Amino acid sequence: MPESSAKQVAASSASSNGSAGSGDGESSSATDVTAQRRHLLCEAARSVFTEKGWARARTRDIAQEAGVTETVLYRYFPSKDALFEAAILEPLEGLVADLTELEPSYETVTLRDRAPISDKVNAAMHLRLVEIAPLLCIALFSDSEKGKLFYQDRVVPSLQAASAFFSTTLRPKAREAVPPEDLIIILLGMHFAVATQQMLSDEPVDIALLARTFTEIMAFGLTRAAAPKTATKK
Amino acid sequence: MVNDTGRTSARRRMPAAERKAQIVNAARDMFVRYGYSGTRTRHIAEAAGVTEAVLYQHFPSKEALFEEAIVTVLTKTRSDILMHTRAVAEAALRGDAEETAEAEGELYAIIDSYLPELGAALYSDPGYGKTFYTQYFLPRMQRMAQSHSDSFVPGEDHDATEISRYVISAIYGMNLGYALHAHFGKDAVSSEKAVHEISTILSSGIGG
Repeated sequence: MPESSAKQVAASSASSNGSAGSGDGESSSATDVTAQRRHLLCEAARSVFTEKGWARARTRDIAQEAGVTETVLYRYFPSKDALFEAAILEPLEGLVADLTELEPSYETVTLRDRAPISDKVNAAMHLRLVEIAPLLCIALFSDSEKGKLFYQDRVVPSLQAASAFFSTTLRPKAREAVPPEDLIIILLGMHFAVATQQMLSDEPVDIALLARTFTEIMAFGLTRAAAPKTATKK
Repeated sequence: MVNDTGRTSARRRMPAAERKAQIVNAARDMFVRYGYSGTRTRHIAEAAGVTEAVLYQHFPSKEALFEEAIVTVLTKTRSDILMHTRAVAEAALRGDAEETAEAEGELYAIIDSYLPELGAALYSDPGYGKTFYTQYFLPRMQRMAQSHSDSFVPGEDHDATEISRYVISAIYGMNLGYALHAHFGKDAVSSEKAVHEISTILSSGIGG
């Protein structure tokens, strides 16, 4: 199968596949291989779960997509449930890592230079939510009682970790208007809406324009966000 | 079917409309809990206290039942969501904080109370969600983004329509975020607070 062999090549060559701040292209030690395999399996799981939904997704198909045997898959993940959780938690944790990486850049800039960093935050959130949205939909809406547990046990801790980012980067006045723990709910909702719309319609998203629009809405409200972008570009 | 005279005749006495309503209610509960693909007609029949055969007398398929239990409800909801989204956007663009908050309050109430149905129709099954979204939501949203790109965003270029689309998604998404948190989490933000925070952001922002 060409796809899985391509994935294997990707596994042996790429070390940091979209996961910010990890992998530095060193020779592949045993732990590197383990981490890469985990990542590949999570990626394969996202694609198979997205395509087939929870019930019809088989670990055999996921293993095949990742270019490993089912036995290898079970060495990493004891069950389909465990793999599903890892597949959705990986990008959530990745998002927290993205934010952590961007955090120091807020400290050094003047007020007017904050916007480009906020654009990066929004772009990162968009990319992560595109990865997460299909599985988050399955987790929440294929059994809403289980969905509640998943949300409370798995999603909320990531929300808290991400809101820590806003506690340090938001200016006091902003924090007063919208506390960080609420801001993360708002931002994730905005990006979840865009990601699910993309998932349901395949409409392309102009990430730079989206990030800019969201940054401006958050900072100045709709009036500024609606101002023509070409005129404000340098 | 097993002939269970006493019970069947008792059931026959129930008027057809009433039985139908009972099936629809059971279907709604099941679809909302287990989604479109996770729900089986057998389970709906069980929950409604009828046989699967009786269920199929009223509804030819699971899809027909979903239409009746979930989609018909959402047809009105969809129009309301779009109408109030537009009202929120227009008030915020005028800089009218009070009216923004009022329209936003109505928008949040709708999204919050219909989240289970929205979840079942849009998010519970990728295949069904696609059909539903592209048929029911997308054309109207596109029309709204186009017709309002004028009032949202001056200019008629591609960017203006795109930005309008993101503005609409942002308004819907902010409400969706709070509604999801309220339905699935333990510590819901009160709807007053949610509405206040969303209106604040939309009408003036919280600073760079």
